[in-house]
Amino acid sequence: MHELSIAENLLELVDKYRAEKGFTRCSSIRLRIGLLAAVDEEALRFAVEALTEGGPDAGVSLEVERTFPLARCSCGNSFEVQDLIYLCERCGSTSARLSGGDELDILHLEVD
Amino acid sequence: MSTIEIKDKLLSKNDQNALANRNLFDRHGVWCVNLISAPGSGKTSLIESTADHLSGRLNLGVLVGDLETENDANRIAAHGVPVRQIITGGACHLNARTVGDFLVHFDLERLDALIIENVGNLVCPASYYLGEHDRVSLISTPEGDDKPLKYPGAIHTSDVMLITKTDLAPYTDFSIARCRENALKIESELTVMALSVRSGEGLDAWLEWFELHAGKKKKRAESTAAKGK
Ligand SMILES: Nc1nc2c(ncn2[C@@H]2O[C@H](COP(=O)(O)OP(=O)(O)OP(=O)(O)O)[C@@H](O)[C@H]2O)c(=O)[nH]1
Ligand SMILES: [Mg+2]
Ligand SMILES: [Zn+2]
Repeated sequence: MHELSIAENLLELVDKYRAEKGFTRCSSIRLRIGLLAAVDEEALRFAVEALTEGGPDAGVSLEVERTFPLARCSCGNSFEVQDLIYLCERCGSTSARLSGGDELDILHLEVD
Repeated sequence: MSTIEIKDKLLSKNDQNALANRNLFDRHGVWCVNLISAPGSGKTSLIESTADHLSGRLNLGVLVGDLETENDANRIAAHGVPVRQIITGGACHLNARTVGDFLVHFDLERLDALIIENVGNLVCPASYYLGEHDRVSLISTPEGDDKPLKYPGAIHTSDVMLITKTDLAPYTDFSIARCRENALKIESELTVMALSVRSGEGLDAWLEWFELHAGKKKKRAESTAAKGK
């Protein structure tokens, strides 16, 4: 559900750029999605495929760049968080604070 | 073939609509709070209780989003608060445009605070800014104290995490301290409160927080209006 409405917003943006730049077909979209945005990549691909079927952008490919939050531990150590059950490798503390990793951005389009 | 560089937020259109809502709230001195939680964590119960306790002190309005039914709106209307139900018909979250469309049904000039009860879902509503001044995530004790880690998006974008149904905590292995620690990992600036609308425990702190935020907004609007005269 979440991914469907994100896909709708994405394709609306593609149409907006189509009107502005005058291309016919978008063949590839590059996105940046952070871990905290909680987007399931497979569900998003499925939604985009379903919504573009039969239209000019049918078969458009999605390139997804995933980003992860940075944890800063009170011991001074910083590390990337791939999974939210995390632990500081230097001091064993579980109290590192997160920043970033909530991106939901469109970076570029490949068009014909 | 060519490449078009964009670098835009995927939900930028929703963000623009949300800013329009926000401007409208600010113009009328209305403080808006967006409640998000999993289904059944106690959003409607909290609104009912808040309305009862603040009746005669603040003028509230409520906008409720649900997949189906007007049940929640009927419950809230029984407490004498102007309320509108948005039936999303399948969409798992409210978006800023729909909220904007419904704002015409409220006398914003009269309201001090607008509470938006989002669709019961702790994932999707997190990505959709509605123009609110504050966002509150509710997690009820039967859901478990690991929920902030499983739903980081909601916690990360919230100003307050409210642990609800504390009267049920003795029957579960829920630890308020652990839940708070898990939430602060995700969002270190978060305000954490715990309450039960059943026993009344912790309700005072919530009402104080609520009244402080709604009141500040009102005062600011009044002083701007006075300056304008
Ligand atoms: N024991 C106890 N039960 C509560 C408390 N708050 C709410 N409940 C009960 O939890 C159930 C769900 O509460 P609601 O207020 O309808 O929850 P909601 O978040 O509005 O639910 P949806 O709108 O369906 O997502 C109801 O049966 C409430 O009576 C509480 O503090 N303690
Ligand atoms: Mg409800
Ligand atoms: Zn450390």
